Amino acid sequence: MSRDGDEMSATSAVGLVLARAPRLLGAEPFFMEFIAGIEERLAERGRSVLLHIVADHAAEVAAYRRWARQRLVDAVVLVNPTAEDSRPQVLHELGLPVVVAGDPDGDTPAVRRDDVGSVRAAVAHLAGLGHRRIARVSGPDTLRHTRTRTAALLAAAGPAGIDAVVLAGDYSAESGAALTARLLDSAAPPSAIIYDNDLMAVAGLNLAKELGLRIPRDLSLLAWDDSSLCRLASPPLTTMSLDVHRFGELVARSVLALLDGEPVRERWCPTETVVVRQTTAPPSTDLT
Amino acid sequence: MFAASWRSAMLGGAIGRRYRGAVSGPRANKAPHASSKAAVLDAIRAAGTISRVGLIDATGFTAPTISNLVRKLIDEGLVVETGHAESTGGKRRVLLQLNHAARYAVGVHLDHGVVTYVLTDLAGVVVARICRPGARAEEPSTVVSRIAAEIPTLIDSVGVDRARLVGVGLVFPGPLTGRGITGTVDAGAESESRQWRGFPLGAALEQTTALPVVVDNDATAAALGEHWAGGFGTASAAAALYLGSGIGAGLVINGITYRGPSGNAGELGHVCVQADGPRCWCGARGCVEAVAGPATVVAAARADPGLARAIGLSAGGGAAAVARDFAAIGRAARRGEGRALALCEESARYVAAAARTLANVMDLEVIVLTGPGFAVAGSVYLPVVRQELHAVFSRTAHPVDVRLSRSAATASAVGAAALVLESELVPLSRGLRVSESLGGELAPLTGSSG
Repeated sequence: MSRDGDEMSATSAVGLVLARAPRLLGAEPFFMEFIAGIEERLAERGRSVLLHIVADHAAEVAAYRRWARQRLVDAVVLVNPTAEDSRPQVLHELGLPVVVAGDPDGDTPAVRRDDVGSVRAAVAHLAGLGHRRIARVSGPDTLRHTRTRTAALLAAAGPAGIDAVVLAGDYSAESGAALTARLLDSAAPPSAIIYDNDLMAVAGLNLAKELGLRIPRDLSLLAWDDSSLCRLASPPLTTMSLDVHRFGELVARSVLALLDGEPVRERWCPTETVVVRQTTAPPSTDLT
Repeated sequence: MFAASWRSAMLGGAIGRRYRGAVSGPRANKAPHASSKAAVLDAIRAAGTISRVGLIDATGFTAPTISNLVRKLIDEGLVVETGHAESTGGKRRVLLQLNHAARYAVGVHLDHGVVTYVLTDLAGVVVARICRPGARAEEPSTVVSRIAAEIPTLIDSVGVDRARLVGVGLVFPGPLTGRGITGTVDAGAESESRQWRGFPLGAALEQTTALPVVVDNDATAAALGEHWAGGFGTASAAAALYLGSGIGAGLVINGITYRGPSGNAGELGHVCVQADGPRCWCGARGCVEAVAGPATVVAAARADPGLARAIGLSAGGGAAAVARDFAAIGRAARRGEGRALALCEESARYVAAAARTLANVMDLEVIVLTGPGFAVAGSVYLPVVRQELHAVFSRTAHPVDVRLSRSAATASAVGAAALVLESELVPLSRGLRVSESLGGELAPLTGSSG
């Protein structure tokens, strides 16, 4: 912490509202690391992150209105942008500067993830192993990055001769297990499944093991959002890895530039890479 | 590891203590609570959702007693009915749960270099969190004013009626003395320590905020928070291993945090792992904190210029810089950076040895790794600790389950909030109070654990 930090007023905060169902507790490691990255950069300038966890977008918007009225935050970091997102407009009307973590709405300052490049890397990894029937258990379809990834998957699959199917989950372990069961029960089960987060992937892995499948010989699994859960799974999950701490630091830089009245350039997280562990392998011949 | 109840002191004349501890699950039927209402409320909290019949089973109370107490809790707004259980052929049972928004609590973790605040609901679930720069070398009264000023901001940010706030849990690194604070709350400010000595931090904050304040050790608070979140399952002997700027542990035995007669139980950082090892700041030799604690790992990494440059270590002194650099080393280890990984794995071997010692002494069933250090490096440490615990003496009787906390990053602040929720809403009976000989303050020493 800088010495200056001690003299800052108690209101020198940047707000971040996380709207999520209470049962999605597993989201915490990802967001706490993201916030730690933001905080590390903000602390150098005596600023803090005010995190507020709510159940839905209505409560999120209510929080923005309250913060603007009481001048509790100087700026807002908006996470999980949705397809028809009204939140940037609300923040604009309230006069609260905003940086979007993800795909922006119009020309709102943003730090973007290269979802297209990351999906291509995931598909290339699985295709390289010989998989031709790939399924993906995605996050909620209302999220922009879910749609971006779905479009990227379908675009990459066709030319490679890959049959791709997408089922939308809600990031919970329950949906990961249920959708994995549905995929494996189908007439033509996939030989590889991609998951949009760690919780669903671990649940899918556990379900597949309960069904007696040998991982990765009978089924390949590829998780998103590398975390302790993925590294500690048995066998450890192959994942798409993003430097979440760095993502947070990039967001903080954009926030600080915005507060300084400087032009905020669009920043991009480095494209995610495949961290190969023990859940991806060539498909067994009787399944292909 | 205890708390002075200044409010009851004012009311009753003698310095008392707030009490804490909770049933470990819905089936613990010898409830250690001060009142039957507290026992029922805690059983509902521990279960999540439960029927009146389930409460009879959980508490051992009669059906009319349960019916009466549940009605009171509903009238007070603390409990709500929430639909029906699956039919089992007979009459469908109405399920009860806590009314989460009925009450809120503030948890404050006064750590080296940073103060973390959380606001939780009645169930101990975090609704808001903010970190502010730490106490440094300021006057204790200034620190109290700053904490007191932050609390209304936190409440306003969430839009909660201040009348719903039950109190403040305030935790910081131990150790404790029976007489008062003997050190400062920030490492590297030795000359300032005198002004903290004997300063009644909890009482001062209680006076400034006009709210009940409960104080405790941060590792013990982390253990209570884990217990409230259900992280220990049904284990009757469990520990939270806390990795912050130092190493600590909190014990939960039969659903109650165990503090020892002076509040210093669970000082895992000062378990000896090398009889002729380096001198620890505490004065002893070969403490695991001196041999393999975060400051030692950071010092080793900084001594490797290539590594220090590659992962962006600071040259800064103080505990805050140590915490920041330890996090950077942990992230590098996770990415597979060879030198960072080797440093963490070596540290993990000693931490694992200390953990096995604790498990052997306490016959532990569950160990949860928590605190900001494990939030970052837990996946590197956990396999090593797990492996070591395979060799625990009790292995033929039961395994020791080693897990990562789901709220490792803010565990102490979350536990601090649980501390005040427990003491205000589900207090333990007098028989489980800590020793009356204890004084009213914690005593964080320079460079201490947690």
